[in-house]
Amino acid sequence: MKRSIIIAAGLFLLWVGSLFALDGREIMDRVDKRPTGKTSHARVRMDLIDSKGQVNTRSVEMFTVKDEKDLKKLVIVFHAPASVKDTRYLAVENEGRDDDKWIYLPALKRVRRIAASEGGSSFMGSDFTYDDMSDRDVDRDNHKLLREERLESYQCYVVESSAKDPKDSQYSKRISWVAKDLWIPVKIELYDKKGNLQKVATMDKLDTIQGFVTPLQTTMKNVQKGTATVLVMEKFVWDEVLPPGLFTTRYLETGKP
Amino acid sequence: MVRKRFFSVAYSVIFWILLLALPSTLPATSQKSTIGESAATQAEDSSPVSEATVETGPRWSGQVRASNRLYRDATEDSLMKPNPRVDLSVEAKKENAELYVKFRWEQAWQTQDSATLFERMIDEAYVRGFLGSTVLEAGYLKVVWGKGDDVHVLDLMNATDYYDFVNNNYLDRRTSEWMVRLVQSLGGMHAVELVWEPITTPDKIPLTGPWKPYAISELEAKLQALSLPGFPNPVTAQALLDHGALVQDNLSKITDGTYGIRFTGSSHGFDYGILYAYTYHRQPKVDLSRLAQTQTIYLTYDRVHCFGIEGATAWEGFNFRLEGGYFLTEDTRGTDPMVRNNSIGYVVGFDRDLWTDGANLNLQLQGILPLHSDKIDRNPLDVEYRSDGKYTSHILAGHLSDTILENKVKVKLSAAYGIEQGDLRIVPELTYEPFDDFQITARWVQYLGDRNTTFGQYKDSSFFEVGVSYRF
Repeated sequence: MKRSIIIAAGLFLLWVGSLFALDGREIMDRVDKRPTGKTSHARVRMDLIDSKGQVNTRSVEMFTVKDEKDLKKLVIVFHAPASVKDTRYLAVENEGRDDDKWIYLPALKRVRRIAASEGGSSFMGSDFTYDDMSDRDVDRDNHKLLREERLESYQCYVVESSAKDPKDSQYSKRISWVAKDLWIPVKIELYDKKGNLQKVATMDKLDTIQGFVTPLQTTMKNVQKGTATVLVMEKFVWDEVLPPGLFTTRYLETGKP
Repeated sequence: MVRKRFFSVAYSVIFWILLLALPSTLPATSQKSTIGESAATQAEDSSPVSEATVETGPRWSGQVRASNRLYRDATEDSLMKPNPRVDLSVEAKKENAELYVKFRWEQAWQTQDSATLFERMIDEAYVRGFLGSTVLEAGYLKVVWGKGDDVHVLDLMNATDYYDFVNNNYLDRRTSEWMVRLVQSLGGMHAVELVWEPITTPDKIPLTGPWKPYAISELEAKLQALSLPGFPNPVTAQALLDHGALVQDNLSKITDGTYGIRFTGSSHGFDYGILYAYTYHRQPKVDLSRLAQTQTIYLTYDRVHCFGIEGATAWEGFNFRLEGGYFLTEDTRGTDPMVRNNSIGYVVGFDRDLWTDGANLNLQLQGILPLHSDKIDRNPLDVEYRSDGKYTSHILAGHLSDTILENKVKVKLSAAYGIEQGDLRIVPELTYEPFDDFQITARWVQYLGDRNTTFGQYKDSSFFEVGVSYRF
């Protein structure tokens, strides 16, 4: 009798547990909805390390804002090196259609619209692409929970994400290690179109800023090329009041919001 | 010779005085802000981004370049010596105002007309003020109109410098104009822009050297055959200019200005614009009608109204763009041989990233279609008359580029083909950037075609060039 009760209780707990178990989609949805500020403003240093270990440094400033529909606008201002200084980039997320993207190149003195697919291009010659620097809509991918495991000090969900439309992504799949208590990926493996591991992103430093968990240092290693890029948030602030004029083509042209 | 040397020394002195004096006229201390003064204050007071700032005091930047060019048909005179060049920019920013000055100096200019040296040395110099949603610019500056990639029919606010016809950088091929420009933001991505240039300046056309147009050589031959008394012998355009027998007839008064208005916007993934400009054709016509009475050849310029539209959109990885304009001159019926006919111009094109990261294909077609060209063809005295009867012009321009060796090497193949004339410009180019901001470039520029065509006229000037540059 006692044994039956224990088995029943165990089955009940398993059933209850299964009710609360998360699938891959729900995990990535939680990552997407992780609390952050409405705006962010960061000064970012990028160290580009080539296959011989030579380091070139870039400096950019990034601004983001989310609207009431949670659609994001992103502005990147390039400060260094001199060859890209004052180049400015604007991406506006849209509902139901491709993002709008523009770039202002001082050498052309003109704001130029660029295709959303150019998000797969290298960001300033680094191992990040423009898309790597942006959020990706959870609904654009299929997500599958592979397992749960510990990665260094983090207990993680391991989730595989692949684009619903293969043409919609530069990668065949991404495998993310999502820290359970933080709802933030601490490691991501990125696989090329042939299914080979291409890049590995790791969050080297996480901190809580203004109550929000914030990655302050990220390394992207291209295991195929032997190169790496370390992205360091030298300064970061959430919820700064940013003028609406910042997220316009006028700002790209004049540098004044 | 003495005059040239005087101007050369004088310009150098003025250049260095300006260079040394400018910092003292700018704010003495470097100010810092994030995205404007109010945001800066906030950031300095409470934001951890306060040190992540944009410098707003005097900010110097520039580029040092040197190149060596070897012409295909090199003679002792045409073999160019090393040509060092310096670009130096200074910017100063206050809360609602900015000052920008860019100086240029190039060794090759010493061989050119000293009267134009000073304006060449000041590449741009203007102030920009911000009044709420209005931006006001005044000074000597360049403005780019139209959505084309370095190929335009609507970029009407500046003249073209044909001394620098082969320059890689589009803006370097344009010359600044004195102008006032007002841009009023209409909210979102919409804006209206007004430009006024008190005096319209013509294109700068070399009268000697490798970039002298074939039309000038033709004119010289024609005048030589006339053996006019009092004219220099041999007759060259430069000698006529020095002799005072080649003069500009208009574009010297305040009434010869350029006026432009342009509305631009963006909606549902489509960027668009509409514009009107009242300006001049900046390429001269040669007026020989008063030659017998005045012993003078006049260069005249046609007034033109331009009505234009432009657009750009991205679809399936393609960046599409277009420009189209109607150019209304005073000869709407095409019967006045001394005035250019009305015409239509357009640019359509696209670019697309290709199979590898960094590879890009860019193709653009530029078309110019004079109206009533049959009437031009019937009158050999018409300023637009061509003996080959080819009045429409279509140029297909494009380039294919890629980066290799961890983005350190860029390879690029550019070409432009004149469809009616069958002429061609082709430029293979290799750029090596061993470290940031330092580049070594090698390129071969080949012109092909008949002498009376856009590219063929320079076929003796095809060249190989090696250059280095450093930005700071």
